[in-house]
Amino acid sequence: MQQRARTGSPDLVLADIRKSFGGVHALRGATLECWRGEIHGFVGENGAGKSTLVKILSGALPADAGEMSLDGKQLRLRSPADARRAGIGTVFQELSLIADLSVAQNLFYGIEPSVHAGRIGVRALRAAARSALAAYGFSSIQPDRLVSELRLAERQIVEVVKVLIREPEVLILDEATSALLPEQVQWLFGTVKEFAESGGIVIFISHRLAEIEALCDHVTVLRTGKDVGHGAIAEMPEDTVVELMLGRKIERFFPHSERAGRVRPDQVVCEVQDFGSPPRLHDIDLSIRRGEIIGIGGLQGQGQADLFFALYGVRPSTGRLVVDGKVVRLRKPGDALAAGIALVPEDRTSEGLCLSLSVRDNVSLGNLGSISNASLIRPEQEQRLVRSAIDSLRIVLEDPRQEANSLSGGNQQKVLLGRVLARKPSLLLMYDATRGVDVGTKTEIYHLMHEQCEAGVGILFYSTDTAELVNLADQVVVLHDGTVRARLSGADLTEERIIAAAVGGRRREAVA
Amino acid sequence: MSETAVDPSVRGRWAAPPLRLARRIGLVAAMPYLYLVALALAIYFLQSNLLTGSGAIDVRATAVFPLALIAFGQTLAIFTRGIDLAVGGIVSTTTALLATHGGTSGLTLGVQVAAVIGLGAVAGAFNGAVVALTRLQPFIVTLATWSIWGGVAFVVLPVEGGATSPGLISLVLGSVLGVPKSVWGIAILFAIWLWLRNTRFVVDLKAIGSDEARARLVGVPLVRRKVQTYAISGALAATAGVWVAAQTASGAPTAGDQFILASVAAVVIGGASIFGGTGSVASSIVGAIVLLMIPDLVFALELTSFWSVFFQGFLLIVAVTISSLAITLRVGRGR
Amino acid sequence: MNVLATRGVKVPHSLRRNPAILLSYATVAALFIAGTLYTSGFGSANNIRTLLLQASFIGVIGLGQTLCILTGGIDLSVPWTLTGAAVLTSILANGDASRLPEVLALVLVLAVGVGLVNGIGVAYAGVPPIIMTLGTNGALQGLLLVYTQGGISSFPPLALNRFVLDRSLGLQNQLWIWIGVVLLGIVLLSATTLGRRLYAIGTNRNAAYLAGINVKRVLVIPYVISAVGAAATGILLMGYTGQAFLTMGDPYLFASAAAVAVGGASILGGDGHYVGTVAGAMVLTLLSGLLLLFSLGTGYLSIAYGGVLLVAAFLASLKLSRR
Repeated sequence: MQQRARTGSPDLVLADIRKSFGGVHALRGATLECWRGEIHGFVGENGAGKSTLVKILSGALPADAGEMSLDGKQLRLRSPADARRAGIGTVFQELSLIADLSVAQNLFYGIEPSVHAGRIGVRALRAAARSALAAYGFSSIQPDRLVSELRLAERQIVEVVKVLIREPEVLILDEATSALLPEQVQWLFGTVKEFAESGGIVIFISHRLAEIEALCDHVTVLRTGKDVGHGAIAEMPEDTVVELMLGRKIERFFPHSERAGRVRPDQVVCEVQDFGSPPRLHDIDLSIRRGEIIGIGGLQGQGQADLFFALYGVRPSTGRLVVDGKVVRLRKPGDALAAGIALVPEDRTSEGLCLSLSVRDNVSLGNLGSISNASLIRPEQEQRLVRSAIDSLRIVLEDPRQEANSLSGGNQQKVLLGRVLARKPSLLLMYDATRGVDVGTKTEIYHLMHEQCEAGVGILFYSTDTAELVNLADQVVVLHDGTVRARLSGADLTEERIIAAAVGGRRREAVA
Repeated sequence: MSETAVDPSVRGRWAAPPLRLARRIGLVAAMPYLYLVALALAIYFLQSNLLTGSGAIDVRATAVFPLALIAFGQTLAIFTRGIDLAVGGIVSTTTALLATHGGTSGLTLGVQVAAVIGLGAVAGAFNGAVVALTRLQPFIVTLATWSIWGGVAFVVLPVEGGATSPGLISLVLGSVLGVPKSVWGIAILFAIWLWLRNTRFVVDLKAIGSDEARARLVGVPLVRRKVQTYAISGALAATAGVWVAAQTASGAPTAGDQFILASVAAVVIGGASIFGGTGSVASSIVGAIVLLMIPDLVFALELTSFWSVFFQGFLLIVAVTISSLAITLRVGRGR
Repeated sequence: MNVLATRGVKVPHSLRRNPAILLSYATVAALFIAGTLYTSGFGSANNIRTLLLQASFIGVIGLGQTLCILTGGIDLSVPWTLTGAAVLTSILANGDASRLPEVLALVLVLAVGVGLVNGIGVAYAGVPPIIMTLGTNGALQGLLLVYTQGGISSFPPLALNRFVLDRSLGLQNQLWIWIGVVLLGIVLLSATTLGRRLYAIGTNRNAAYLAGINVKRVLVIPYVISAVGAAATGILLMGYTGQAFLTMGDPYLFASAAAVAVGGASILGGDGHYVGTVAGAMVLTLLSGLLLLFSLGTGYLSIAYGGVLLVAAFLASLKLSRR
């Protein structure tokens, strides 16, 4: 990576940005300085404040305090439109495409080539979209197709093209490579480099440090809402970056656990054979023993969610599933729970908790059968259940009757875990369970996982954090295209191997 | 996991192969026309003179036109994933006003008509503003204003009756160039839609219905569009009220209530998604025609006319269940 | 209250619902006092009993409507379920009180059927509640018009009228029925597992599903209860007035929704209680009584209901925090 000269004052400055949501401080004075022509990497854990900062810079959220300026001019961004007008183009992690509109309509929204008296010229729009996609090498994406009909990778590409055709001064890419194939990632890197070379500023956010290292000139690390370090990429080796991200050395972060003492080799808690879930997941063979932790890895959207949902009865499944020696057919989550399978879902806000209900209600929600008698709730039983969850997980709160909303993210996650674990499952499914959780709580969750294993629970967990996979799992199964690509354990279980298995392999779905 | 969210109306956006194919063939777009042809054939074989007798078109068009007007506005509201229940009250108030003050107010006909349509627009704009500026859902806002405008109609005209000014009646009835005015009206509505469907206005409405959060991100002017949508719906409802007042030569405090179910049914039969983001006004108008052929079918089957009310409600239930199942069942088959 | 909650201040769960409910009872008191100030007869025991009787009809329908709204839905088929039950009972019993038990049983079974149609459509087919119940309402209207050919000439058995108005232990039976419904509502929502499930579904349907709740099956129940409640109200109302007529159900659509909203429930679901709806029913009845004092009739009542619904729903929407 060429070193770009950082001369004069920075061209893009975000100074001392602060933002809070209720009692939660997402940003506590974060500062970012970029020069034109630079590809600036921006890293931090989930919950460090990256998305919040991106939203502020894109005009989607107002900052509570702090200043922003571009080329010396102060930026007052009250809306995403303001940001676009100021020359800031953002490729959002969650994508900003409208499903029921066509590719062409999405690409050129607001800047349609031919508009007369409010009417949009359809032919001109189609032609413009076609030539824009072709210019970037993607003439295989049809402009009239609805975005809802595109695959995730294609949608990510349309999102990038959408931003580029507006010729921004600043290009922000928030996890823009998460579902892209290797050749598409190379295309993106090439496009980004061209953009920087012509004088633009690039802010590249990724949790894949390998990509940061390959692409960026300079990197800033964010932790708990503040920038904690920055430097030229050559001066910021991965260990340094990780240490800055986590705030402590990696080895002391993950609990040490004797695998031999924990895993019970003869007791298989869950076995799947020829397991699948149409249309994408197929030919999955897994075996999880009591006390064992199996990690699931791979690029986003390769079937991991399908696997977890199928094992929990949310998606229909084919093949054989055996839990605790009994063959199980799942049609709904209730069946899974009855079989001893429990799920900690990805997003506690939309899938896990009922935030406006009390902590007590949330914990007892999945356990209503055990705290009631003929449908009438027994208050003493409920109180005991809730107390035990709060104590065993060390949840910080004043009163179980307070709203779940009023707890911190980490404590909310504990409430969710409390509910799930009160069921005493045999197989615990954890889908990205440490996302958006502070470092302290993460460590507690890792310890909790080991505790559960010692008690004989088998754990299947998915994480986008390869360090977690390496340090927690006894075996990692990497999925690609809906099936098993690699099984790694022992000496083979390294971050490089996981990533290699995730991105390597046959060429498939080559776009243009 | 967010890609496989459990809420059916969210999952439904990412179309499964069967529906993708259906859209490609234009099957969804053709549905209302299929219904229409099926009904027409059934009626023709049972009692053909219903369709070919003198005045057959005129009578039907006169009934279709007001429903088509309201279905137009209802389609726009449904594009945004909303609904307009207040049309019932607006139609009632319009007929009540015209039937009581029409002859006596001393205002010219043009001013009267402009005034009631303006009132409809203002009432609608209020609905749109409340929907846009508060967290209240459209159905509860328009349910409340339906009650309010229905009450206003009762206050103005407590009992069915009154007399619409003769000038208004002659304005509305009759033909131009041999074609009944109602048919011209329907044709004009089609023409307006042909122009409207490629405007940024309609694209914005569909964006709002499809994904309001992302629409805001992308720069769609949410408040302006919602106010415009409900204002237009209100104005169209008032226009329909003018027509009904002229047609029946009287007013009634509950004249508009029947149009609520009918307009929603027309839109659903027309193929628009009740969750917003897709659809066409032209199809909704065809849906209105289909709905208003049911009384003919009932007559042809020699059942009492009251059966039409049942069948229209029943058809709404069936059509919306099929439409919703199509979205929900994609879940079972996987994506 | 919820602003405090997000700042980490402890807010006892039971108190969270109370502000809105307390406010609605305060409104009841205020309206009542206004009435007594305007005319002395307003505060008489007789008048109070009459007002309570009138409120009880809204109240009984209000339970089902509360449950539907709690789960994020609504039941717009209330008017014609009510009317249908009354008309059917009147015609089938034909003035003969001995037929009442079978007739009532039949009508209630049919009401359950209506509720199942609504509930299954909403829960299993994913039809938006407003459209589903709108359609059922229209279909019921059609069926009833066909059945009665537009006119009713029979009268309900006098025994029904006597039952509703007869007093047991000083209160009319109708009021005892309402008291029973109130107790049922309180137990259901506050003390049963079903209540917890309903609140969870109304707050976050996804999360409820993933927690193992059989959302579809549970979601049918509010609509069945609502239909049965509407049918019961229709029969009782007919007993009270002595006659069934085709427009008797019309006012109860807005009235039931408004009563729930005034009671502090959020139209978005997940927040509210039947105890509030009870106050809401009384607020609406007092409003109609006050309007009558000023000689303002049906039209003004509709305007009042609509206005109250809008304001109450708006106030309830303000207090919602992140869900």
